[in-house]
Amino acid sequence: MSLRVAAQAVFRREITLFARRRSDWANPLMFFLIVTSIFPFAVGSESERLRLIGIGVLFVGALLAAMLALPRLFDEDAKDGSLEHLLTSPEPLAVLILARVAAISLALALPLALATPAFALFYALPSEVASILALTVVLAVPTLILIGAIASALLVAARGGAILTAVLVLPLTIPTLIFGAGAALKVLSGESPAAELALQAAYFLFALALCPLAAAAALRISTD
Amino acid sequence: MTGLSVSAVTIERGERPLFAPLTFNTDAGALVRVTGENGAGKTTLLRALAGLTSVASGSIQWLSAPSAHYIGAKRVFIGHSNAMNDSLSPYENLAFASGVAGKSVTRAEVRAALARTGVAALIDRRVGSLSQGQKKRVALARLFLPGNETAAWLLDEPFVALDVATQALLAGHIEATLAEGRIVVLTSHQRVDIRATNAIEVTLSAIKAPERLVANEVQA
Repeated sequence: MSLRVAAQAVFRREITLFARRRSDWANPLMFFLIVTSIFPFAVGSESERLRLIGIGVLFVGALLAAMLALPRLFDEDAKDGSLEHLLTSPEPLAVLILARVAAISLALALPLALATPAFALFYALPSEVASILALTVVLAVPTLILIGAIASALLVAARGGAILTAVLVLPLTIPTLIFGAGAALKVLSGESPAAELALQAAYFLFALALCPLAAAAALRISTD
Repeated sequence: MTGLSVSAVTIERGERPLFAPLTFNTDAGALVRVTGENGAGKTTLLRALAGLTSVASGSIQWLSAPSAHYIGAKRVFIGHSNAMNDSLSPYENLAFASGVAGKSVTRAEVRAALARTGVAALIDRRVGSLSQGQKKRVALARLFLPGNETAAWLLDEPFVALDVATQALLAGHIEATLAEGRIVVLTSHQRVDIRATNAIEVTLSAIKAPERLVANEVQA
């Protein structure tokens, strides 16, 4: 009972913060728009070529945009001291971290996934490819935030932590990148994306099971 | 009955012990003043009492449970930072602080807690727009949230940024809580009068680095 109260308190606070500071989700969205809109200028406007690189650019753009939100996980709270509330809670820290990851994933994955079909227009991608791409972004963003939770927990309040977090996180997101972009490529060539989607979902579930526990342990160590 | 027993505790920061092994015992209703010069480890000791920092050796016991990472016996720690998000209101911050500890509070309960430190009117302002003293008063209102039927208050420099009247008000609250049998541990550079029948003073003396080490550091 009190566990649910605690998890809800964490979730509600994050959503309130996102609603109040729109830049927290609007900045990643703007970044996503900028990345995806300048690529066609660089590679030329032949729709055949654009279609081939489009899937990769959109997917990588969405992942990098989601990375911008990683400081929201613990850094901000470490600075103003609010992290003490999480650390001294009698409830399991991993569950509280999971609640925060869920709120941040929701606030990021939704706008990014909704924007994906619109930005797919830059690359002349068929609408069925665009919608499967939106689905894979929905799976990839929480995976990234989950993995990012471990790295930001380890590097909380460390100087130069942001770039180090990216270095630690991005290699671990490669599986979700391969499967997610692979699913969209399959649809582009008229095949079924079921296998890639299943593997991407499996990788997400793997992260879901392990990352909150690892992040909780890392946070205890780095704030000790 | 509540009690606090600290035996032969040392805490290290960067492989270096902060103070000589510390031992003291208190019963319920005791006031513990932690004193010492800057860098002696007062804040670190309070964090250790709150379960936020682990001890290098020795043990801290609240009631009879060893201080794990979790709060065993309940206690409220109010640190140097006010532990509040600037973009949220005092109500949202206090509701979060209470909720994350597993206890949901109503708006009326938060307002009542804020009234105890005289800042009930600020309940919906953004914390970022408050003055330092007002922030401190909002942070201290956490002590009066329901569900904090706590064994102990751990207060790190609670009188900083408070005006004289509010210092007296807080001192009164501390006296009242001591009378109810809670333990209060506080650090303070200001000598604020707190009448307590059972008060002890714990003085931390910083362990100086050996001369040779200092010389090496200067060279490097």
